[in-house]
Amino acid sequence: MTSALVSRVQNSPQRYSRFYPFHGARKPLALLLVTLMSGCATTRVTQFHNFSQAGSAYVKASQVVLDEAGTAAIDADSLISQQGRDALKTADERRKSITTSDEELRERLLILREIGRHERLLQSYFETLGALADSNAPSTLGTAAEGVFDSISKLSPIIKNASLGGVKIENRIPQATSFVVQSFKVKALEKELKARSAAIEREIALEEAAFKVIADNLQTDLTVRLQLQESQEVIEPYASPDALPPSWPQRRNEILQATVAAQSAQSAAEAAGKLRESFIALVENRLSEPSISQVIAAINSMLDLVQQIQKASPTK
Amino acid sequence: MDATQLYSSTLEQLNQIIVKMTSPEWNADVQGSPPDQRQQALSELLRVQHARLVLGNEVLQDISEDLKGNEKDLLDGQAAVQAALDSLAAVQTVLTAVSSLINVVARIVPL
Repeated sequence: MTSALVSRVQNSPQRYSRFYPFHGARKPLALLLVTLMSGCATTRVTQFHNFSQAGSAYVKASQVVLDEAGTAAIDADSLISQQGRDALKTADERRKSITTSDEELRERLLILREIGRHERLLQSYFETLGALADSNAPSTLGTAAEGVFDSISKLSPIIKNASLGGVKIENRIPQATSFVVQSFKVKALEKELKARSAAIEREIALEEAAFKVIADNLQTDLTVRLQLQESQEVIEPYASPDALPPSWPQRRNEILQATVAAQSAQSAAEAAGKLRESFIALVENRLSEPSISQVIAAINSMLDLVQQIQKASPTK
Repeated sequence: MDATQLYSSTLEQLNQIIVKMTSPEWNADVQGSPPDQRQQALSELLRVQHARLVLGNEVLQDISEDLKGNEKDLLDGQAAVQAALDSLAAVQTVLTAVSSLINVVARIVPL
């Protein structure tokens, strides 16, 4: 499975370099998989290093999904506003309509931004944990981990209490899993895991919940956007007696492919779920190559989703 | 039905309506309708979009009393919209049902 994923990333450089965000997100994935295949995955340092890299890859990919969630909401609203503008008779009506939309969209974007910040802090925590696993790690790293965790825990109530599309994120948090922190040779690492691993598991669960809610909204916004695009860019030009633009078959293909991809919007939440399972396995000192491969596969699904929907973005 | 369920079922219905009202099939039906109906379809499309954005950003506890106070009308409105969508009713029937539901939502949040 791992080698198949490696070849998927490595044999399609053209495909993965088409979009800048993809290029950036796929690169560490490929490096991580090469590391996994080098046969040193069983050592403690490698386990923590691999998890830290998987966590970074997850954060990079999910930042792209967050951006796309915001973009899809704005694009859907813009297309609706454009289409419905003719029904607004006065300048005041038009002004009020667009101002209301802007205000509400801004609120949604703020929540997405906070989720992005929470993710980046988690990434820092994973990196610190990776560094702590090294027996030569400086003693100050434990304090650094505590500092990052403090920042995470200040942010998480804001996300828990936030609603997106009417769904409170807290209501979608999966149940806590009980696990036992194993003994590790590096005592600073063991101390850190005993102090905070249960709380970190809850923070990854919060990410999972946030992405479940984001995915529901993303799916509706994308469906709306793609349907309007299909009418405007595919059906109406075809129905018109005028000549079709040369780009018509390509646009048709992109829009229809993205319509199918939109149905897999839950892949970001699945990736967070796999990351949470891997974190528990890491703490229990049983993180294996297949576990990491599952995280990578889930991240790849996220990236595929974004790639399809970005290709079908409204023509500028 | 408690306020949480009422809130989520209303939003779910608004999402279903917006998906329907942006579909190519709906667009084709509206294109074949008289001009005043086309105008009304555009107007309702905007109102539905605003309703889902505004209601979706509300904090449930701030509107739970208003939701409960309008429970019957909300549920009747949702049922009427669903019936119109399920029976592939004519554009005017769908618009009338949608308009009634949005009028109820407008009692709960300013639109």
